[in-house]
Amino acid sequence: MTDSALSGVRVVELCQMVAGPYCAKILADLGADVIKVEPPGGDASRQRSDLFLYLNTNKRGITLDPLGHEGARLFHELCRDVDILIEDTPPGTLEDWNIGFGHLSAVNPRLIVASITPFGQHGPHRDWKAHPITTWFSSGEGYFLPVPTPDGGPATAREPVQAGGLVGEYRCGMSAAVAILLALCSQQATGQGQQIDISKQEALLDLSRYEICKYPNDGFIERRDTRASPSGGLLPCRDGWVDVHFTEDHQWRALVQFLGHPEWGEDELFATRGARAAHREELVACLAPELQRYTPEEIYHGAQRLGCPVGPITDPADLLASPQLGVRGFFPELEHSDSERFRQPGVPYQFSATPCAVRLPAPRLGEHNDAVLGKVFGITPEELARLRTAGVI
Amino acid sequence: MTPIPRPLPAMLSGLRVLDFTWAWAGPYATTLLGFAGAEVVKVESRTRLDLTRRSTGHSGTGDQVSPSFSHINLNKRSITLNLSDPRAVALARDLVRVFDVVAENYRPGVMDKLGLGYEELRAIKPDLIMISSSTRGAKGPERRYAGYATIFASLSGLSHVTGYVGGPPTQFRNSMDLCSAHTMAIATLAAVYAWRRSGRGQHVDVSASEAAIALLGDTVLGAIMGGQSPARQGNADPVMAPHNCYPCRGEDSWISIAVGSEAEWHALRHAMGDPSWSHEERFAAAGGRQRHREEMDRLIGGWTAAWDRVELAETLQRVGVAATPVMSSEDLYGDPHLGTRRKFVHGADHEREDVTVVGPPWRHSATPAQVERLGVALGQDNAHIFGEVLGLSGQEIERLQAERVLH
Repeated sequence: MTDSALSGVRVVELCQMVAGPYCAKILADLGADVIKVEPPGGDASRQRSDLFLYLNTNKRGITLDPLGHEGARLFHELCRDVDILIEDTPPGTLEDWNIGFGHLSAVNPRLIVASITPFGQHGPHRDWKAHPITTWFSSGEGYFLPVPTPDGGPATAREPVQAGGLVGEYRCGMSAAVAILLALCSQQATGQGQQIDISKQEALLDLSRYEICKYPNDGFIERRDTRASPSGGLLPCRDGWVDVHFTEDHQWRALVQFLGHPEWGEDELFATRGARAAHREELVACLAPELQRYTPEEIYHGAQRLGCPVGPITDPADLLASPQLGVRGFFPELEHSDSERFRQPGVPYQFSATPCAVRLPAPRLGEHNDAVLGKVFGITPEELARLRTAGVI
Repeated sequence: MTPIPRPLPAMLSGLRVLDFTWAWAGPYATTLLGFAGAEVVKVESRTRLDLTRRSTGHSGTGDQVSPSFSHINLNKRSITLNLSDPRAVALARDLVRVFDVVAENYRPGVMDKLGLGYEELRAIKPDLIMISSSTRGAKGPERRYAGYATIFASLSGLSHVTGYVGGPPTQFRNSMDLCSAHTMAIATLAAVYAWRRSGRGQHVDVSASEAAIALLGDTVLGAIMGGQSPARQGNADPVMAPHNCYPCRGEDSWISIAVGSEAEWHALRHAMGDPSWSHEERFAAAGGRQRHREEMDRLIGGWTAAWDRVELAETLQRVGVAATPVMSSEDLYGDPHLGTRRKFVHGADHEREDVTVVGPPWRHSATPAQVERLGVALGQDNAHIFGEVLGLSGQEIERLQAERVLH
């Protein structure tokens, strides 16, 4: 079989919930051998099967509590020959058990240790407590994401609303994956590992770097009510919404051609980007009844084929039926341990030479204890039984 | 005596990236590589100026000033090639020979039409890594559809699941592009790692809308497994309550608070001064607090409204409650924590003496990522790249500039 891009790269994941596990999943889907270390009670995300099953594909799973003398010794052993440790414990926790970066790199100088925490490893807020929503709102976009109010009233009259799903946490895991791959390229060249400090606040803030710097550079504070789009926007249509763009004149002409009003393309009121922004109310008044004649999908395909960028507001439940995603094989079908089969979202890239795919379902709790601890570390079955009884694994 | 360790080279030291990307997602992908020391050369043209070079800022600056360009194009060199001229395409192909990675985010088919498609470039440089990113990816019935950040969010379901209960969906902007940039960087780095190990190059096809779906994977899988369509839920969480933003003193001033355990609930109650309502049976357990969320949030908001958001966050953090101010750009820029971590970098770019940008998103202990160059003028590095790298004479370069090939 052809090697995957990260074949031979060995990773230990000591993470729970979303950000760390997503980071490790990215590496696992690219072919790295990821051993997920869970406490004997399991990753907290096992409470939600959709979460756990999506975030832990292509990994092997063992149970081990590294925060104890015997567990720490085993964990130390586990990290002796690996390339990468990804961990999300509160800053200082691993050091307390002599399994921090200093201890591990003393025996494995190639080791990359990536620590993912809400506020990073140093600074006055290092020990601040966080849940995903507080992390989201500590990073900028939460303050200016233009969430429309149900009654059309002023955006700032109501509380700011977070991004849906757990997108903020995923974004942190994605940022950490870039950082780790960079360190891995460095390790490939020099043989040296290092420590990476991922602050979730900074990983998220990074994605709004332009908006945030309007303040130091121009004294301008981006808010929910400063973000009216001059060149398009979310507009209602029949049975839903579409996101329409007419930044460029040719895009505007394509849209009105689709709607059966090519004359609006020549109308001076809307002829240029500036004119469309200046006459936005008239423009929306023209478009609104025409858009009501079509569904989001009809406008999407019709306008896109003529060259106007349109996006249908899509219900995640409808994605599985998308012909585009189907052709690309975006939803691989996996067989889970209870022999139930279902499709789940795959990977967003296709490599021509190194296969990258979701192949193996998330592991059952402790599924690979015997294989990893027994075979790899030569721990005897009797010893495994004792460790199990003692609650270490 | 311990020898002083020699400084390690930058993480991508020696990696050459020829960058045909434009707008937001592609350019930030190559900036992420540039933070780590890759030599990124941006291929631009006056005939098709990058969107961020011609966008006007909120302050209404003119075409020549580019308020957004410098924030997403860092550590780069810039050359000009008018690719509608076959001589420029020939020069681009000459450059490909001495670069390791080609990055582009045109609509699928455009690079092929220019004579710069993967198959043609591979014939020139067999171990080339080429990364292409587009709205829907390079194959499938929708491959030619165009899109921007907001459309990636629409197509992924993220817009659908974000908003007030009963309210409209939400448009996401530049942050979606920068997410797509990260996905593109991940694909590039994986290909670079494999290439250095095996000597084999390849083409990677990235779909920006799939990259957005990947960040919503559990929601999509939940809909598949449960057969139910997820709804907009404001700030509500399926388990935690309280879990919301609450008003503080001042205009558009808020704090986010989340309570994930009984210990945190007791700590919050205590911080509020143990009001009698908080002892009511209906608020005793998380399930009850969920059911009576609106009433509870109103009561908590009545208490928070008198507080300064920063003081309240510090007060709640001291007793172990997860709380942060809803931080504006002003809050972030003045934040003592980010100040200690030197998050903001000041310098001069090609247009302004004093510009502030955000530094790299991560901290590497041995080979720190760095901002080395803020912004770059159009074609600033023509002499260096075409002269020193390709070996053209000064006269030739001048002639090609006059004939609008390097343009």
